[in-house]
Amino acid sequence: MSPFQETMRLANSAPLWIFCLAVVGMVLIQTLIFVWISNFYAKKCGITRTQIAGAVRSGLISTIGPALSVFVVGLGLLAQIGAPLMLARLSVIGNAAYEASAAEMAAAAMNTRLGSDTYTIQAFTASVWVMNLGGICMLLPPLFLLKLLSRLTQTMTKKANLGMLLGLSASLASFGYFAADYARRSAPHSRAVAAGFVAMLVLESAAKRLHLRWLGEWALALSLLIAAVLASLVKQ
Amino acid sequence: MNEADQNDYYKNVHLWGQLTLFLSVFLFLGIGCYLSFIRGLHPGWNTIFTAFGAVAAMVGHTWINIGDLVMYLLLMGPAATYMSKLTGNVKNMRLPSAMASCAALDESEGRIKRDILATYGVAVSVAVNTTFLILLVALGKIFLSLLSPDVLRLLDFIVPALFGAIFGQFAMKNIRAAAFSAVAVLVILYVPFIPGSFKAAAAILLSVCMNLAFQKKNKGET
Repeated sequence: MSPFQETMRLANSAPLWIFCLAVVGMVLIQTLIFVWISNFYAKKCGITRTQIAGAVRSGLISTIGPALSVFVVGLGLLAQIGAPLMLARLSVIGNAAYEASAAEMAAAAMNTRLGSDTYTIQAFTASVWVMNLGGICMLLPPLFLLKLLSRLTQTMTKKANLGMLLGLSASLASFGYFAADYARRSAPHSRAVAAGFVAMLVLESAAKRLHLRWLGEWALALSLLIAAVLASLVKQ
Repeated sequence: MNEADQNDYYKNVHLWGQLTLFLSVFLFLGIGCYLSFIRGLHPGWNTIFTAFGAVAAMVGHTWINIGDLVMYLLLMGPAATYMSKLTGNVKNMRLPSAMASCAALDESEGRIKRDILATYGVAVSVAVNTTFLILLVALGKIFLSLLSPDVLRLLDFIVPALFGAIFGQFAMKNIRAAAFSAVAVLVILYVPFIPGSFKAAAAILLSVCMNLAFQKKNKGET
């Protein structure tokens, strides 16, 4: 058995599955806890069922595209670090590009490469350590600082009573920034940004003028579809 | 909703957020410790820290990026931020999803409503992501061959279109604020000496300042 085959056997062994499913379980448990808390307090502050349904729909629509991209990168990792670790690492802090390069750097420190025949079980262990240490470093600031920062931002917005405009201009700027950043990448990308923007304006105002509630609810999904098709159809 | 309930909500969010992140840190350490010390495969701390140093040099600046944390807090509240930090893919998946979820909400509504709706957005996003990854493990390559290259090309444009569309959705609430924000973004984007990782935060800061300044002037006139 070659070192790489040995590694793949370890990478797909039962103990690895148990650890990695525990990590995925942790993510799901956290999600359930926060949904439960939200359900409890949503009633108290008068959020309607319709509003929750709308939030879930919009969240769903906007997440499918990016999730598919992660799916595609995950396929690459699947062959190199095994199914359990891929599942765990892409479920937490899972920036696929980061995970792949962290695993690769550990392999390089052992004088080998991912997927190479000399990728031994020790090199695999090094990859596991480096990916997880990086993950821990990303968790420490929110773990220790988020509570403090949250209190600070809350008193700040409360004191100045600027919450509304502050939120709106922060949202506008962050979406505007990401949109412009994408638009700079290539002509089709800028067409996608522009088409999404225009489609949204048209659909939303049509929904308001004609009092079509369903159109307002599906405006986001429709604009994304229209924009993506337009961007990939127009001749380069 | 009264003040006490609201404080109660945020207290619960921080309690569970910190607890789950804390447990996750131990789980992460557990996998490495198991392989190194129970299975006896330890590659040596030297090797680990050499590679870790290289990784830190590459992405370490994102670990200490407090500006991003503040931005997430302002945009989606603490609960969604805890979830996003644990599950990753914040800027390309969680944040858009959270923002889309509360985009329909009237801006005059309280901040707690926005924070709660954003939590639903991130929760859905985590559910979809996990489902896809489990499908990937179960079906692997069969799945990818079903997606034609044309469909894959289409996926590339979904996220940029999303940013454009949501900007449009917010712009309809306040066209003036949108215009100022657009100017702020373009200025920041083309100022050469701001490091890339600070640009998003800088754009937000400038946009907020411009809108506040404009609002004050407006009030003074009327």
